[in-house]
Formats: sequence, structure tokens, C-alpha cells
Amino acid sequence: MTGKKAVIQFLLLCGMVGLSGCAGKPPTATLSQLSQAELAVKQADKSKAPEYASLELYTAREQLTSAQQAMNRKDYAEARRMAERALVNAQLAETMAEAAQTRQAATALQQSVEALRREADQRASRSR
Amino acid sequence: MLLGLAMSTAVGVSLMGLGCSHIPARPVALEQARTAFAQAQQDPQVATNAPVALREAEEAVHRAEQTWEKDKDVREVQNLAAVAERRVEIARAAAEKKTAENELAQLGGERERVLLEARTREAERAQREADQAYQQVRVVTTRDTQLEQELAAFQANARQTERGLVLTLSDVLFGSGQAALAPGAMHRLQMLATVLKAHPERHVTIEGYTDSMGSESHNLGLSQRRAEAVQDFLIQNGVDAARISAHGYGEAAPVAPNGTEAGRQQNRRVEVVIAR
Repeated sequence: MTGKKAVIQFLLLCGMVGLSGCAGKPPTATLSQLSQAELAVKQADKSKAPEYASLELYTAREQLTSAQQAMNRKDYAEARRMAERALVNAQLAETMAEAAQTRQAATALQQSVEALRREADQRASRSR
Repeated sequence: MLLGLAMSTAVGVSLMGLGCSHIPARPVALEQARTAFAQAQQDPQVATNAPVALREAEEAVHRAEQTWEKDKDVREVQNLAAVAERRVEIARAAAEKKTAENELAQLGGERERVLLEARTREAERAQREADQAYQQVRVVTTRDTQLEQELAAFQANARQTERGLVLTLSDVLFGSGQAALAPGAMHRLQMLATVLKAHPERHVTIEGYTDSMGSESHNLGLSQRRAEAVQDFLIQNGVDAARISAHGYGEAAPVAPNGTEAGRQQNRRVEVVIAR
């Protein structure tokens, strides 16, 4: 009686473990997270991130590789975690690059406006 | 026996899975994520310029907190906390981007304003210069017209040339072959002196010319002496010596053919050039 109960419990546990992603087919959610991360890294690669946020982009790539490797050895929980990390790092790299680029444009425009103003002032004082 | 072992192992695994065997310490990463978020939230630049990214960061912190409360799964919580911390950084970067964008827009407007101001000032300057030039022309014109009228008063024809006003005085000022002024010339030159004194800023050149009769060197000397006689007279009558010079050019530059007496008479002359 107790033996039968134990077998059922064991089987139930095995089922739970399977669901929690330790074996079997990769969960759809994990697959989707991995492809999101891949997309985000690809997008960051195409942005100015290699120039302005190389460290963050490098981290994202490493984490994406870790996620893919975890996927291959069927460690789906680790694959999901690494995909989540890769996604935010790629997004960070891209946003940082955009911020740096915009800042640079603003600085250049600031200098241009100052130069224009100086020139205008000089011309005004010459004509006086 | 075997079943008992399997069961105890299974229970052990399940307990480990739930993380209830020991109560693990709250992960440091979770605290860090909370602190990072609280700081970003208090930063008015982030709150104003990146509200969406800030809310996403808040949700990520919340998710990490909830997972900790529910499962005490250290590994999972550490991962979620790291994700949350990155979300806070994304919010900061987004805020910086927005700030720079606002500055760009503002600078664009400023640039337009500076350019417009410069164009306006440039136009004003051009207008001012044009006005000045016009005033100068007007002054010169008025002066010349006045001078012409004054000269006409003593029946001398003044004509405008590039060198200035040129007044031709005929040979009736002198006796034939003489360099001394004829008595009748005095009155006319007196009036010329009066006119010149009224315009003290203008330089005057007296030029003597002869006809082609006689030797060239004699004519040069005669024209020089006649020009100087006029110069002396003007100086004696109050015209500043510094502004008046005299040259004799002899038979050079005839204004009429020397073949007739009428032509020769026109060539014997003294010209008074009143510079601009």
C-alpha cells in the first residue's frame, strides 16, 4: 500500500521536474525568449553600440552564447535566465549608444551655435 | 526497501527544489536592484524623461521581489535582480538620450535665432553703409554745385572732370609774352581767391599752358612762371599755401589746333584744378 503510494508520488515528482524544464522538449516560452534575445543582440550589433557601448554589447553576446549552450545541453532554466540577461544587456547597449550619439550631436550643434554667435558679434563690433 | 529509498530521495529532491531545507539569505543583488531603482526614481531627469523605461524597471524589481517571497530560489532571484538592475540602467540611458534630444531641439531653435539676428544686423549694416555713401555723394554734389555756382558768378566756366572741377582762365590775364598779371586779371582772381577760401579742405593745382609759337623750353618756362604768378596772387589773397601747387606744361595738351589765331588763343591758358 505504502509502496504503491510512493510510486505514484515518485511519478508525480518526475512529472513536475519535467514540467519545470529539466528534461524533454524545450519549453515554448524559453524558445521565444531566446529568439527575442537573438533579435535584440542583432539589432544592437547593427546600431552604433559596437562603437559607443562595446562592453555592454560584448556582455550581451556572451550571455546569448551561454543561453544557446544551455539550450543544447537541455538546461532550459539556465537558457531562459541567460536569454533574459542577454536581452536587457543588448537593449542597454543600444539605448546607451543612442544617448551617446545624441549627446555628441548636441555638443557639436552647441559649438556651431557658439561659433556663429562669436562670428556675428565680431562682425557687429567691426561694423561699429 | 528500494521503494523507501526512492521515496526519501524524491522527497529530498522536492524539498531542495522548493528551497525549504534551509532558509537562504536574501540575495545582495536584490538589495542592489532596489537601491538602484529608488535612486533612479528620485532623479527628476529620469522620472520626467524616461517614465516608460522607469516603469519597466519597477516591474522587474517587483518580479524579483515576488519570486523571492514565493520561492526563495536564490539563483532565479539573482538573475531577476540582475535583469532589474539593467532595466534601471536602460531607464537612465533613455533619460540621457531624451535630455540630449531636448537640447538638440533647443539648440536648433537657438541656431535659427542667431542666424536671423546676424542676417538682420548684416542688413542694417548694409543699409547704414549705403546711407553713409549716399550722404557723402550728396555732400560732394552739393559742394560742387555750390562751387560751380560761385565760380559762375565771376564768369568762369568750370567743368566737372575726374580730377575735380577745372576752371579755365584765358590768356587775357597776362600781357603777350609776359608772366606778370594784367591789372584787369586782379579782380577775377580776387573772386577766385574768395571762393577757394570758402572751401578750405580742397586742394588746388594751377596749371600753365601755352601755344606752339616760340621754343619749347621758353614756353615751358613761361607757363611755369604764369602758373606761379596766379599761385602767388592767390596765396597773397589768403588762400593757404599748403593746399595750392603750380606747374607749367608749355605747349603740351593743346585744347585747339595751333594753326589759327583763334586756336592758339584757346591754347594760351591757365587751368585751376580744384580737387574733389
